[in-house]
Amino acid sequence: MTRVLLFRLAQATLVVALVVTACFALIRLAPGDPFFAALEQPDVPVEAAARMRAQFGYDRPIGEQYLRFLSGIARGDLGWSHSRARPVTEVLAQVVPNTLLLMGTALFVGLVLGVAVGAWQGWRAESRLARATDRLGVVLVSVPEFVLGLVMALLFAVVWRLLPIGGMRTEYGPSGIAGLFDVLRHLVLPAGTLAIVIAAIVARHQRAAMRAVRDAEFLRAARAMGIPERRIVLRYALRNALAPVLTVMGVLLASLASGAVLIERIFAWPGMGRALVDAVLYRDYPLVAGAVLVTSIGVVGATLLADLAVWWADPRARGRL
Amino acid sequence: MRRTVPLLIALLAACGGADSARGPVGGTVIIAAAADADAMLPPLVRTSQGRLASELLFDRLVEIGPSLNTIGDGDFQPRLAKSWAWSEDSLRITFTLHPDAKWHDGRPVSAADVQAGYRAIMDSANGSNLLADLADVTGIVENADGTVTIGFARRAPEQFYAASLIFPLPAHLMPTDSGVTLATSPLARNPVGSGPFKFVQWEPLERFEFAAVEDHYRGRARLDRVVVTITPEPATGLARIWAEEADVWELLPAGDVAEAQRHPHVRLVNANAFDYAFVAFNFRDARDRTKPHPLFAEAALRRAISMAVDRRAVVQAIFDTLARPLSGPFVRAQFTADTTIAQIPLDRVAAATLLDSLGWRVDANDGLRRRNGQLLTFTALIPGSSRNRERASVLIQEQLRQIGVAMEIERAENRTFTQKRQDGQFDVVFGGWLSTPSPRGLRSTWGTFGDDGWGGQNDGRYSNRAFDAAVQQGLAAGDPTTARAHFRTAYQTIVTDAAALFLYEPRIVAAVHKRFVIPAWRSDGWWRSLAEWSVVPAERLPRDARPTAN
Amino acid sequence: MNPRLRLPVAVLATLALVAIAAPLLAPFDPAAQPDPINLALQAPGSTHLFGTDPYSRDVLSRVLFGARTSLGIAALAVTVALSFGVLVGALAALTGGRLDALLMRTTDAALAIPRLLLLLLIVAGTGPLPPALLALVLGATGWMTTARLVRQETRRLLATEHVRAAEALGIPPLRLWRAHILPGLVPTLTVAATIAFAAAVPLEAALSFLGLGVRPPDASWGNIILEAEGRIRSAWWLVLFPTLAIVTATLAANLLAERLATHDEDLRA
Repeated sequence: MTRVLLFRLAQATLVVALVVTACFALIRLAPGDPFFAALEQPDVPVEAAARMRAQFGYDRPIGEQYLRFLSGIARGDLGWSHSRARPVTEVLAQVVPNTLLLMGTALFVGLVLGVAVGAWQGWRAESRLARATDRLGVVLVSVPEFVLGLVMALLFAVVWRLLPIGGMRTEYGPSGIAGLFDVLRHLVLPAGTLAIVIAAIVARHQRAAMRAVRDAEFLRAARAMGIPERRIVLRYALRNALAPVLTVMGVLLASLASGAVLIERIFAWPGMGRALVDAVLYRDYPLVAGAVLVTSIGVVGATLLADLAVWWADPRARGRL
Repeated sequence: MRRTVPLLIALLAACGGADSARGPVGGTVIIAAAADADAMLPPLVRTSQGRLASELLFDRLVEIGPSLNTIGDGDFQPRLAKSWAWSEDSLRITFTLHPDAKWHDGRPVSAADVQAGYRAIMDSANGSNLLADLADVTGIVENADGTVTIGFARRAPEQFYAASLIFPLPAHLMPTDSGVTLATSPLARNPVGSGPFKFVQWEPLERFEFAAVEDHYRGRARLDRVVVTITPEPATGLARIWAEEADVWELLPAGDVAEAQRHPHVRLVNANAFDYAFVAFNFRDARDRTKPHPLFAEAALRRAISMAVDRRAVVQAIFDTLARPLSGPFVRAQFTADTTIAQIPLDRVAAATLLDSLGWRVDANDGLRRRNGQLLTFTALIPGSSRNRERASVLIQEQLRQIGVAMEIERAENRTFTQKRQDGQFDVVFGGWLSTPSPRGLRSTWGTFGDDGWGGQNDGRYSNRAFDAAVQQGLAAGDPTTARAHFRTAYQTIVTDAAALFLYEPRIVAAVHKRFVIPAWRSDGWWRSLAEWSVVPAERLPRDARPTAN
Repeated sequence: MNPRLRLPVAVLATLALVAIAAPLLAPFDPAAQPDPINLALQAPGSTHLFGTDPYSRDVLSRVLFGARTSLGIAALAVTVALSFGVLVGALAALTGGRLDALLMRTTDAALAIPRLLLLLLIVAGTGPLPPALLALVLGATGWMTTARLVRQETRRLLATEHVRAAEALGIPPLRLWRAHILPGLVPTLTVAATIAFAAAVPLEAALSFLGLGVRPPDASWGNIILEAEGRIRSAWWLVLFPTLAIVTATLAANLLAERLATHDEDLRA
């Protein structure tokens, strides 16, 4: 068991190492040496600039700079963001929780919805409704998320005026419990759009898995024993069909991360995706590198956890790792 | 020119300005702005959002009155200075400071603060655009009795106006360390001012917030809070206005006027503005400022391009009737405005002929012009925050393509845009100036005055001695008629030189929530009356509730 | 041809034809602004079947030329992705051992970074790119799935009877590759190509929508939608038609990929 665990950890570490190197290459090799150029902006406090130049090895050989960059990451120091006039880590600390809220909600709702719909579609694969919703799912997967977001915003915020158009909170709105509801209201559209996308992907996988399991031997035995259909579905079929969904978690998370960038932009959600797009437009390389780094590490870490969950839950999957 | 303002008149002016028909107190105004403030300390500010912030936080010695008459001192209202007196020879003005004027941290405003403000403007490291305006000021003297005297090298019609431009800064908080500039000092991020609103919070690129100063020497502002939230996308900003999540959006696009009228809580406010937009040619090479520009140093080429662009059509397409085409680097509200200036005619045929004669021939394959194998192409720098300038660039790009000129568009986000513009890294720039009631701004925007021989904002490096001389004479003129004549010469010179395509001056139509009572909308900065805004009690929104002890 | 494949192939072929014939089909010059004052943002009508954009440009012409740009970029990206993917996948499968492990771990690593973020990272450094380079960058970030598929299929082919026999006969590896394995990879490559295509089209649209892809006055389906922002209700045609185009292309490619995969499985069984 530990061997598998170590292997997956090693794999994850390699991935992270490659991402880190790519980010380092971006901020040090892009024209104009943007990492240190950011420190020369007129509004960077002098002590902060001096400290960062020393820490990241200005004027030192590139190898040493790379090592210092690595140690900087370990320390949580990613340089100075000139577009936000603050250290990169401070900016990320502010925006990452908002994105986690968005992505977490979307993932949860999407998974639940996708599993439920997909399982039903798989179980009752021949029914007309199942086939119709399946076709709908295929179409949904082909619609770009940003269009979906624009349409949702149009319908729910502009035409029907049910939900707020953007942002995370009403300016000077309520605080406390009412404030929580305010955030939730703002969360519905962006998380909902992403959840639909996730659900469509998950449903397709769940459907295929469910179909495969439906006709399996052991279920026939259960039916022969007279166990009610619903119990069969919930206790036996679903459990076996769940694992395949978890194996696509990596793909889901990557999809979610990309989708979050577009959705945050459309709904002005103050998260990391939006900060990233702004950073690219402002050529704020340290912030771009920091955001990509954090996202990739997050995706890798979450995928690792999901894989371990699969491995633990489904003994048959252990061989496949 | 010597007048002493009797204390009585000053008192009456003070009453008239602030206390008439006081409405109820309270309310929060949320302004949706298209860009962040670049700075909040007056000498560092270069954008209109920065001016909004700095002019709410800081008071001047005196403030120009609503008539915007910059000549003489009759239309100025006391602010940090309660009264003033001219010397016998009119070369010195002594200001008496208001005894109750205090900084937001409690320290009283003193003569040393006026000195600090003046020094900050004159320090070229701060890049203040008032540097050229104060060229005639010889110095500031702090007198033993607490008054402060401003000395001038010569008398001029706008002498008093020049003095009024100085914002006193808190001397006790100014950086003293030689390594720390004003821009990197703690004061820049946490400004302490003297104005009716005090600084609460600033999250770069997200929002900033000010609160009313309770014991302000001019009386507490009616509103409790001013919040500016930055929404670069007009779509989102306007959506917030329609949804009542924000209260003010200035510069409503023409296409959205109909939409605004569909919302009963939105009021449209019309005003003149003092900004104007233009497309400036760079006279120097974008890569090396010491060399002339390979294309635009040639007057004939500039002229040809000017003849090919239909400025009126561009303005009408973007604004419908909500902007006026320019006749030169001035706006109609300025007293020197002259719409009879001879313009370069719109004549595409003549433009094409001119280009042919310069050797730029049309290539039949793609319709673009080439000379010795080189394509006639250049890049236009536009700021990301201005939708209007972006639209203008697309319209002009197509107009130029019709005569075979390939203009590329480079969109740069605000900081990069400002930096590139200042460093001259552009071929043409779609710029805009927030001009002032006085035409003196011409010196820094298009003239060659200043320490290094350039006006602080003459990014394209236009240089014409005749223009400079005419501006100088206009500013020295003793009466408005003579001034106008000299400025007319100056304007005609720059227009004939085709230094820039002068595009439009927008007429501000702002969308404002109807619950606000606005005493007057000033064209030199609509935000200047924010201290007098109040909320109709019957129409208060939840966010107008008075904050509990903060 | 398998009847189930006919529909998606027909759709994709039509799109390709439309893209190629765009200059002939488009009623107007896509960049021409006939009358920005009076003809801007016109609803679909008899002269402008898809309406006009804020600069009075004809939307139908822009969608047609946009097909050229968007599909062209996607096709080029697929070519790049496929070439690189085949190289990596085949190399991994043929050499086996440590190189195989290294290559596959690198592929996994590249897959872990969400593709849009990777593209943003690159565009941050390069600035706005011309369409050809954009396609190159898209392709350079999309070879991973192909590599995996190619490796899997190559390994399977290597294990088949007749390839083993050929190896035993001493046929040189290059010839082995050319004559026996490559032909066997064709079905896999076709599936990989359609998958890559289905991913590239919305990705290019997303980048153009963010303002980081194809820049005006060149038309791309993504940047036509960008001009609708803030006016979706009043200028719905700016969103509807490019979206239909994107969805059609992506859907057809997805469907084709799926049916090809099933088709291959059926053949094998």
